[in-house]
Amino acid sequence: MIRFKIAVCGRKGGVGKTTTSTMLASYLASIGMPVLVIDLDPQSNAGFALGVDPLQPGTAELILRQFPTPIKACENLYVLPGGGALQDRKVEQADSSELAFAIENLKEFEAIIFDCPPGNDLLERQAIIAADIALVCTDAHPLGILGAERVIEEIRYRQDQKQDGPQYYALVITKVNKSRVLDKDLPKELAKNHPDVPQFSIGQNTDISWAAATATPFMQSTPNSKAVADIDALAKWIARDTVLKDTVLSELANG
Amino acid sequence: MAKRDTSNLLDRTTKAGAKLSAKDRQVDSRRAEERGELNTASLNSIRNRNVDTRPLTMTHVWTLVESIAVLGLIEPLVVDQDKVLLAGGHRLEAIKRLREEHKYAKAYAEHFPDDQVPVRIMPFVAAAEPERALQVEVAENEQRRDYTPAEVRRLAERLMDAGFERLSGGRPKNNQKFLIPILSSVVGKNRRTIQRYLDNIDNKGANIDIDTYLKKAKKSLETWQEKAPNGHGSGQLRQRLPEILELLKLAISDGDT
Repeated sequence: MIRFKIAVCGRKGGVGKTTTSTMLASYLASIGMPVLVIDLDPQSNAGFALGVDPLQPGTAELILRQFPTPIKACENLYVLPGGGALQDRKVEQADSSELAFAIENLKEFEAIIFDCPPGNDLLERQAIIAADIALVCTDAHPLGILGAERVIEEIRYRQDQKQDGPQYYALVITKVNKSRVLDKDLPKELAKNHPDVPQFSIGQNTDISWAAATATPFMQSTPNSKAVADIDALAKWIARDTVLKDTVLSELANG
Repeated sequence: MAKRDTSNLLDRTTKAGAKLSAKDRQVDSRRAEERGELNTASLNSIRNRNVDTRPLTMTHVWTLVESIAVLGLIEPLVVDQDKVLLAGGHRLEAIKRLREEHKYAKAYAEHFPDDQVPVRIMPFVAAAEPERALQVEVAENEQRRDYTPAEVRRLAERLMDAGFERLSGGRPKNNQKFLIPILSSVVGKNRRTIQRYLDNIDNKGANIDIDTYLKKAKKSLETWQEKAPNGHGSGQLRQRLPEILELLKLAISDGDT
């Protein structure tokens, strides 16, 4: 049964969407939850970062109802790669709720994480409509924040219109290095603008880049990294304060 | 170097963000208009309204099942941006029954490959604009497309090829399928109109219409003659009116014979 459908989005490129997706996926898998990462990025980075063949049939085929097989990255962690096929006209013209319907057949997973592409709002929307939780990523830079604001506006608009989309969303500030003035102050400013939106931060950490560089899921690569605490906080919010509002994760962690 | 003040750094970002979002909305609604023309949607994705404004008549549904099996869906369903059904409840139900019935499996696969159903997608969300949704529903149910006699005859031919028979009255025997009732529900015209279209007697109908115009003209002129005060209108017309009325009377009695 799918418990969590999480869209990791942000519109701007390079703000840590794929990193957040793959880290969270690896973390959830490591505590015993079957996770599927659905990569909506034509650059197909998520599959690469998790060590699977990024050229295999994946999300485009899923949207076109060709039933691709999720590829195993490690215990409990599976991927449907992105790739150039996502830019095909057929995918572009597909109804914006195709993905939401397609994942109903993937009941063997408890969490589905959509890694949204930069720039392309049509593919991002497939994920937004399918998700019940959104993690809006930005780095501590006005251009990243500009992209995040647009996604938040889209999510709120859908909520106002009573359309399908995430009921819960949080801001995730990535690559944070508190020795830099923008990293120290902009998250506070952002919190002032969005007092009702939970905010998380993932610190800049070489362990994170190392995992991607060696194409290894994060928890397999450096399970004792300081960065685990950042992703743990995010996972706890998802478990306790969103759709289920219970402590399923800590149960899993303890069991 | 002076200390950098970050306190208002996000103001510009927020303002630019709001403008970009407004632009996003515009692009969205343009896309919605564009794709609204005609489209298909997966049968499973079409959702029923929360409140059913009109209860379904099952006999009507089954009539539609038979016609859709032969003709496919002639009038697309009307849905909103979230694929919530705005109009076509009977048609949607009929398509679902068609899918379930084993004997229609081939017809279903032929008319709705990959479960794709013709839809017209309206550029709004019913949950957000319930009045607009109701307007669409009413408009759709009141004003169906007016099928020409030739179109009706073409549909009839296809139905007859599929084994529907044109029988006048009487109970259908086993396996007999009546043409007129099914056509009537497909095109939304009454059975006598359909009969007339199929008999190709619409020219006769045209004669009757023309006579009606003459009768109307005669009556209006008589009323004018009675009511218009002297000096109003052309004196010449008033003088020659009895003659004109006589001509009209003659023309009308000619048409009667």
